[in-house]
Amino acid sequence: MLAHTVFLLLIGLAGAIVARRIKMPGGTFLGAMISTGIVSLLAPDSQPLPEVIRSVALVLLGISIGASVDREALLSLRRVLPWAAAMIGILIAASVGLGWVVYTHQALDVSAATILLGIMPGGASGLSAAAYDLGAEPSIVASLHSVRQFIVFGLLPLLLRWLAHPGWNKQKDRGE
Amino acid sequence: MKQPLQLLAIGLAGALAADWLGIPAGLLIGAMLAVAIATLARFDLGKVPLLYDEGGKILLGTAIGATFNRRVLLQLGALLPSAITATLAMIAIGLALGWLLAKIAHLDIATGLFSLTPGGIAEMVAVAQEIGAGATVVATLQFVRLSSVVLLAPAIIGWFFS
Repeated sequence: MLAHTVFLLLIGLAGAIVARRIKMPGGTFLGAMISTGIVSLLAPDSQPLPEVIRSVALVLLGISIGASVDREALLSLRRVLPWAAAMIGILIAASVGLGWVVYTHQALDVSAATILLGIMPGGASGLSAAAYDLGAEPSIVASLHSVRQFIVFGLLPLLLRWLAHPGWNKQKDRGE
Repeated sequence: MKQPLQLLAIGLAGALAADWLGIPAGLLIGAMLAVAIATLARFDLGKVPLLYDEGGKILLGTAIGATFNRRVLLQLGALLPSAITATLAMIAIGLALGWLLAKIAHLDIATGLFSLTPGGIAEMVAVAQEIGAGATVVATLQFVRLSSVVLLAPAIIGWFFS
């Protein structure tokens, strides 16, 4: 059991290092998931990691999300925040609606919790972490978010070209 | 060396308290709230060590990767076409809302768009920085998006099943 855990952690670390090196969207989280995912698919006797690993991961992730709050920035955005909160609310409501449509139009029986968490506009690692306790399938939630990150990443050049179009961007001096 | 340990202690205390209270996803949400509150109350906790951030992601990525099997792949494959359509719709809605936010709150368009596009936070901030949009605004609003979704998800899922 211990050897198996150490082996998988090394595989995960290797995948994370490669992902970071090639600057893959989704980064170390996705890199570790893909490398161990492949190994688990190839090894039929592969077992899940001990629960303590994911508990440690959840606490560490919670700390890093919480610590990214910036008091000065929040205060300076007082005027913008209520509007932003409203937009985020609409975005979340839209995800629930779309999640419902996907849930009711599926061929297999993936749970509503899994589909909702997979479509909600949150972070890949945060929502996959939440999936464990909410009765959802973390691997599907994480995969759907990876797909989303890849799509956004792929659309970025298009978006940037659109933004470069004169007249769209009101800011005069971009300092370039 | 003291700050990372304080950070860990505060996060752990919040995580254990939330878990003990039976809050869904309590370890994650408890640690997040405790550290966010301490930071907002101006405790000087320093920067998050890379070990916490990347370490957490690698551990979770590995734990999730280890649960992959044929059944999961099959479900994922069946789900992908509709999930990709829904994701494209989400991105379009995010862009539209970002544009609207820029108009209402008088931000420049690029800042508004990158603030609400549901991509990876690190990528969005990096692109904003690169093209000279308001990277701080983008980082802050992306943080608000990520943390509010994590906070609301358990309640929404619970409501969905009631």
